[in-house]
Amino acid sequence: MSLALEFSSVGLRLGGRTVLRGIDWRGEAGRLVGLVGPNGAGKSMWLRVAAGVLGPQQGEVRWWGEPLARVPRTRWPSLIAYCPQRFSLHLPLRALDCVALGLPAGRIRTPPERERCLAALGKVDAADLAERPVTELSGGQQQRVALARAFAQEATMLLADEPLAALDPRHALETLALLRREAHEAGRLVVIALHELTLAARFCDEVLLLHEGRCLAAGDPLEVLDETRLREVYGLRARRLEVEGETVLLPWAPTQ
Amino acid sequence: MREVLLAPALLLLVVLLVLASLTLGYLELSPLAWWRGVWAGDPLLRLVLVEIRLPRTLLALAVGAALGVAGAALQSLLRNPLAEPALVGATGGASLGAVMALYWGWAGAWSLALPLSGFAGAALVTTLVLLLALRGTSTVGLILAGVAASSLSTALVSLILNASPNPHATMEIVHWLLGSVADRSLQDVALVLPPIALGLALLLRQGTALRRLVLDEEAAASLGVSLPRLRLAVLVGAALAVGAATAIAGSIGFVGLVAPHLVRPLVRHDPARTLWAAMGAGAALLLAADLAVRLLNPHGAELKLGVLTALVGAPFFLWRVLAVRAP
Repeated sequence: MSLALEFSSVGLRLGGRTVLRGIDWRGEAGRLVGLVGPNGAGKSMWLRVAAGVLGPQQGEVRWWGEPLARVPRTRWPSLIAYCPQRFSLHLPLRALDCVALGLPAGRIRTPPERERCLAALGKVDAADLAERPVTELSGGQQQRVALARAFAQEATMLLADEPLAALDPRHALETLALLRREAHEAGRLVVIALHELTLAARFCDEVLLLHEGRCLAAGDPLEVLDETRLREVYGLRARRLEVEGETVLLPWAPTQ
Repeated sequence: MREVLLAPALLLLVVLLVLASLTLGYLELSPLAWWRGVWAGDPLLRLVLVEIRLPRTLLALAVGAALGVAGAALQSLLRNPLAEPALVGATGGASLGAVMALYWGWAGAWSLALPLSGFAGAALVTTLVLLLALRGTSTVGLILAGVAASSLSTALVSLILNASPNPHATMEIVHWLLGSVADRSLQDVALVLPPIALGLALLLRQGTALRRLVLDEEAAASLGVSLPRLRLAVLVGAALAVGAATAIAGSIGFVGLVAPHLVRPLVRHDPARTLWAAMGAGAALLLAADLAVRLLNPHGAELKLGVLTALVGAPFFLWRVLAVRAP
């Protein structure tokens, strides 16, 4: 196993408020990791720090053992692909040109690069959108194009902030299966923030539970999301069902 | 296909406009007779060519290119289709400096005092904007800093106009403020070309970073774009190019706003290629506008270049505002 992403005692303050504190975590390549926690737990901040968008005041983040601050910016696109929650283009780019922003020059220069972008769109079932202006697409279609842009980077790590938020159930399941394949078959580290605990428990190799800026637990999804933690962190009671030989975690009711 | 043809088409258009600008003027001569006379070495015609038409053409070319590229770069940086070069404060600062040179009579004492004072004003106000804008991290902060600095410059220009001792001085200042590339010397051109070229070079190098900024600031940052460095480069580049352009030609509005919009659909909205195309479009627009002011009223007082660009540009601006507001 190889260590792709490492947090060591990372602390982040923003606008006088501590949003992340004392986070230690080691992410192996070839795994799909779910970042879970209630609203405001710090999931987006965790991803921003991991992607190098925000620099932490305490501790440090390492990519492949190298402190992030020492990795030249020109190498970033090949190391890490980050898909923010928001997808707001200010120009009506074609979907294909938008995906090409993930390429080394930010645009298609050679036929193989064009193939790479079309393949990335194909992966998210958006090949037919290639010529359409992104600003005219629906929220879910935009989210898939955004993910395709990250795939086109062919980076060693992929971070996505709630990539399922606007997707219909079929596309959500397909996207999760795709992200798992990217992790298992292409050997990338894939970390996604998500709220769907059922899906997180079913698809992720590991979940990382954040609460008030702290990492409460990380590891096997069904072990991390146990009765006590769900009650303390979410104020939630969940049911566990056996379906087709799998244990399914089903958020059931708020605790009193 | 149209993208392949765009660069040669723009180049051809600019070359034709340059030739027209060197050919057409106030002499009662047919174009053929004019060029034949120049070719034959007529000293008067050569003087008109070198001392009047050449500087005027070169300035229209350089100022138009500066405004076009600066407008395109700022619209991309601020992610706002209505941004224009005046936002960096260089236009207001250069105007203020030049007006001071006119008011205190430095301009009359030394011919280069006017543009140099304009440079100084542009540098001062842009530094103020930079200090205000680079403290914060948001785009809105940058826009507000630019608006505040521009308003302050305008207020000081008004104060000087208000304090102006005689109508003649006031007229001189107002005329200068209206913007023109007429009656400038080759010395003036030599003075402003280096800063404009430097500013353009700096701006044109930001293409890839501005392209990635289409996504949004966070995604661009994760792709290795250093936002503080990009902001600094665009602000300094725009200030150099626009400050020098304004110091020599006065404030010429709307070219920087309109040029990027004209070419953007032709380059599939790619910000990097928009920079290059806006350079050609800006130069072409200003050359055409300067030709128009010469041809519109050949016998009376010439319409000022800045007045014409505003007359044509303002309706365009309004149309863009309506287009942006539309659902």
